[in-house]
Amino acid sequence: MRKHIYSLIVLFSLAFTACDRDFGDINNDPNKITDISAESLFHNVVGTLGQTAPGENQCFSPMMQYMATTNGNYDVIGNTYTLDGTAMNIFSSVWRSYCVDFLRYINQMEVFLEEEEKTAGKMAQINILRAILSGQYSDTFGPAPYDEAGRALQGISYPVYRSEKEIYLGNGNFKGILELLDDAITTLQTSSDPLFDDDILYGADRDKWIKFGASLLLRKAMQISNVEPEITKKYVTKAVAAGVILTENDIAKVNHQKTVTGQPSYLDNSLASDLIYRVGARGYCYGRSYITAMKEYHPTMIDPRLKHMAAVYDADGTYYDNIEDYEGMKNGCEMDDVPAVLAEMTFDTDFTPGIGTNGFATFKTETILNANSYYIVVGAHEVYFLLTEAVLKGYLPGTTADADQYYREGIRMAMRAIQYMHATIPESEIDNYLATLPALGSNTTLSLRDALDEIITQKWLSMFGNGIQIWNDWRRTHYPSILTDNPIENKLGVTNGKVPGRLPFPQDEITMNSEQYEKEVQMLASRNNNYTNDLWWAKPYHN
Amino acid sequence: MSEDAYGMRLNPSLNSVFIDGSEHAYVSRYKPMDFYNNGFNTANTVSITGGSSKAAFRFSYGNEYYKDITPEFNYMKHNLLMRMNGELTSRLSYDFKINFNTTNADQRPQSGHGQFNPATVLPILPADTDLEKLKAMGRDISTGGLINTWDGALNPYYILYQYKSNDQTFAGNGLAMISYKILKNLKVTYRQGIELSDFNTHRTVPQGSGFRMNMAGRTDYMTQGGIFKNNTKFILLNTDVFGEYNLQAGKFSFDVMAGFNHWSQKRRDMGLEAADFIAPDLYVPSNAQNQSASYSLNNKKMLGMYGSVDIGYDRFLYLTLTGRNDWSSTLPRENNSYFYPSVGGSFIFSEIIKLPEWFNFGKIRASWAEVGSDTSPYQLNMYYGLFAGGYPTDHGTMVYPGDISSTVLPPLNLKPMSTRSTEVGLDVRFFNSRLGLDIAYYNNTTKDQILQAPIPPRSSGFESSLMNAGSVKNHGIEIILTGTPVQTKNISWDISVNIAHNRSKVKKLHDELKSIQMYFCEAMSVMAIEGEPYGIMYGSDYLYNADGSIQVDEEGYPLYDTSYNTYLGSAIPKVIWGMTNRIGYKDFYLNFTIDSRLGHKYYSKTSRWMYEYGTHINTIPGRDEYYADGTGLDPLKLGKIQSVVAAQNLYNGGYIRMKEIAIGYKLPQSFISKLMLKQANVSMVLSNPFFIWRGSDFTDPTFSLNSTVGMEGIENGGEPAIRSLGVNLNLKF
Repeated sequence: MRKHIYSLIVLFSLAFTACDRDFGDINNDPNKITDISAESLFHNVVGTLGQTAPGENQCFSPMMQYMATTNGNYDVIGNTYTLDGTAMNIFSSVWRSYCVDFLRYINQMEVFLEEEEKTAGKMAQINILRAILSGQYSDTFGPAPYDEAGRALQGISYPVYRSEKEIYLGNGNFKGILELLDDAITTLQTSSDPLFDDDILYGADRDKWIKFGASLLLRKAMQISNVEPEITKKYVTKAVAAGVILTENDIAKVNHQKTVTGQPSYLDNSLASDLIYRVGARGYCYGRSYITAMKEYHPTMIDPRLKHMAAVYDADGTYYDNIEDYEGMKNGCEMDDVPAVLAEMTFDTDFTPGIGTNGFATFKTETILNANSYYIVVGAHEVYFLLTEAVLKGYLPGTTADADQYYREGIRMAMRAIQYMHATIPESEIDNYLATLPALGSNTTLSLRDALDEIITQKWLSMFGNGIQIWNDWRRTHYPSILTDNPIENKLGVTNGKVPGRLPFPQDEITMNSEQYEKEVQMLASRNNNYTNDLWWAKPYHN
Repeated sequence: MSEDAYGMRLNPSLNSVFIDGSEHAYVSRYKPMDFYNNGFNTANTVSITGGSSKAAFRFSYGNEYYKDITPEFNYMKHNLLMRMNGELTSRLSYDFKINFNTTNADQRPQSGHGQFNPATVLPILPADTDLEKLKAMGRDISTGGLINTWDGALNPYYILYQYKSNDQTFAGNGLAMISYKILKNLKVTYRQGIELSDFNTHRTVPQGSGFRMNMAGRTDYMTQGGIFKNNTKFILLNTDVFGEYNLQAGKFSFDVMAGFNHWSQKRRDMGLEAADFIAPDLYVPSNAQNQSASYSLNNKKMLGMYGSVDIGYDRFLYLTLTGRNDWSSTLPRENNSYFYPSVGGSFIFSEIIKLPEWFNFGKIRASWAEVGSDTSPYQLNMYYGLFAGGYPTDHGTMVYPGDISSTVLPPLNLKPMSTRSTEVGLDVRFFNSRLGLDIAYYNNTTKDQILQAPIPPRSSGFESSLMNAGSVKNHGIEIILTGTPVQTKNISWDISVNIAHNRSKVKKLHDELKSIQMYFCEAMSVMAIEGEPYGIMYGSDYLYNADGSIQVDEEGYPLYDTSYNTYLGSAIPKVIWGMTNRIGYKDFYLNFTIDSRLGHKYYSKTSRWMYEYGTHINTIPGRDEYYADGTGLDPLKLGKIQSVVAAQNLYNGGYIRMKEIAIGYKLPQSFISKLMLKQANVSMVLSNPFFIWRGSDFTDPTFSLNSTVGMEGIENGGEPAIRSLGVNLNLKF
């Protein structure tokens, strides 16, 4: 039997000699792919540009008084300026969108393209996307990861934060977004490398991509005009020379429709579906300042857009078209104060008795809430308003008459843009409106302060759904003055009635990236992670 | 009905408007416990055993019916077992076992904080809520199911009466074992195990529902209804071939075993979601405007080789050596093999050493072991997905976007994890084993734990990553004290007390990583921090003055630390102890069991919601003054601050609980033999009757017994704890 023991031991130890068991493919999920083309990821990023910026309907639109609530305030940070658990969650999801949903795709595309040849054209397109998204990211939070953001697959797990100045202007080690846009435009103009075969915005039309990049350059350059006027002038001149979006053909817009299975969710008009939800869940409607401005900006006429964008429906769905009686809801109210605000209104006589909070002007079903409406990423109207401002400030050659002409073109293009919401304003109505509109700088309605106020107020009227851009404009100019004159004073707010200068960093980022957080909280003006900080390019206000 | 429970003082002369439009007096009428019923449970088993010296069999059938305290939730189980074992020849023996069981559950509420868990909304309804009206609304689908406009919060009665949910399991397992004696002391065994299960779930959101939901690829109001169906099939095959050899050589005995194992598991999930039905009351996919299907597989294979040697000397000294090598398909090929040995011994010193009379048994034992393990399938690759439906562009073409499937960073070089444990124990008995003490000290270190660590921060582009993240040490003592204080002809009393104290320490996580957030919710997180014990909680706390009072702002509202980095306490108990008592008197017995956990805290999400919505008892002070004339702090603003300060929602989780009291009686032979019974026992069991002591009576602290890893300190809302009274009858024919 000893023999048996020995042979067992020998068998045993033979078996233990490290023989690698090769299990083959059993550990590869057969339902998924491990490889994808850069082009598919590209479509994904461009598609997500067709949605409102992360945080739009909860933070920026109410903050800029486009929207207000009558029936629920608890996650409408832009109306309450609170810093509670729900707000923290919102900051967290906005933060997450930029790095997890956008920037890591951009980084991954660059990695894939490194394996290919003749990619300068595609890289230029990607850099344009990087510039618009990184810019928005920094405009929301202030200091933010930039060159190291979303690079976990490339080995960077704890990204360093860059200050707003570094993000816009770069430092020796990386290019800022202005330079990225400038280089992208030059590459597209001069390189023969192909673009991505197709894209949702322009179908691979090189000229239009150049105009898109140049318009973005114009927008971002104007944003830093308070602090770096020389740099602004340089880039504004370059942008205009390259050609910007001036006609309807060149508008950067994304189409939408109802999705079916297998289609990405951003094919849905998320602005419309989110507003439909919020109308039901929180009683969303237009803000008072917005409706007032629509009615009273022009000394004698109501803005032709009002009847297409706003509506009053009673509880049964009956539509009331007396737009001269439309009113928006006051921003910043506690829900307990809503009945008091309602009591001051004349809805019972204007529309129908007992209409209650339905009397506040709300979003028109056929246009704003239309599932097939477009989302405008950069429109001709915005470009014209930027040009007006540039001429006024001397960054572009021109007289006050030229500025006035750009201003009117901007209004015209904004009114024409209603067609993308499936409504039309006849050209004659636009002509009528402009013929009797006071010249730039001489409009005395709404306590408008000066020409710049008029430009920004009209821009505000034209950019519904893009509150983040207006928040940028407000922070650098304190216009539209109607917002400054009607501050949001909610008793839960922690800003003393002042418009937030930024969104605070979310808690999970603070705990998980604590080393970098300690460094970048020093980059904030008040050394404190809260709303009341002025960003680098903003007009001094909080600090 | 207002959005929350802040607001004017209750006043019987005022009326408030309820969500169904009716008016009622603005008084307190809401008692949350009225939502729940008494539950009921019955379990019955019949078994037949028989056989001869050559072969034996057992057959049993059992069922269980359970009706929960949450109305409408009930389940039914059936269980069938058959076993045969015996000897075919003097060399060949067999053991076959088949078990088949099935469960059917209806209206099982979703667990955790969520839309379809009725317990979510119950703690935060205001005091003037009328449950009867809610019930009537719940039965009427035209109300849509919503309760006010809180982010999709649903009427709990809608969930009971309208939303249908059902799950069914069919499972079976079998074991076949055949042994053949090659020699008198050499035996070879082939053992085949099989487990099969088929699990189905079905849920229906009825037409007429008024809330929005993401279903079948679209997010929209559920007015046209939706269904969800899922089927999971699972099969596990486990094959072992091993040989056993024993040898007696003088005072030495040897038992040697060696074998190999093949283990394979396959799982397939198929799911279907359909939404927006066209024809009324026809909840089938062909009637749906939107459908989506899902299909996933999960397969894993392992091979193992193992052996053990047991050496005994003169029946008081024992030594065991084992070794095993596993190969797993879930680890990278370079690292998929891991070997782990163990050695253990025991020495019954009372056999050798002359001990006093009253010291009748003593044993020392010691062991050192290593155990390795792998991870789940499909973790190693980065996966992408394509939108097969495409995105139709404005200019008439179709583009196909794709996305990165997961926010989990795939691992770079995953290794198997291993746990090394040492244990030393002493087992002594006195007074003819009427007093016994078993003390053990253990020290376990797990290294290279495979965790889905919620790192890196989201700014890296990912939300978590799979990695070997360092080592955790656990060491502690377990003591079991047994005694029989009374032992007479008619009366006996056995006591057993067990005490365990464990200390953990996160020795190291990762070179770049000093802490991992195991779980995060809003204001607090459960952390694993290098150098600290496992399971500590960090979150926000008030800012304090030097004298210990809370700092306030210029209006008087408390200030708190917005970096959420204050140490709050440990979620892991310092001591876990329990006691069982068996008192017998003739044919009666009385058992009672106590369990206890001490020295830990928990964070309550229910408390956090109650502060935010104004139903927490601590939100009362100052309300009368404020709503009368505006003096003092605004309770709503104060409540929101309290909801977001984690320290305010932290409670002492310690408890000493009477877990069970049971009284039993063995019916006398003289009586039962007339009924052709061989044995009859009847008993009455009272389960979870009362707490002897609780650190905090805010919630039932025993929720932590059911927590998943990483969530030990978080109370996540849910059903109230249950106390039950039952009767058992056991008859043998």
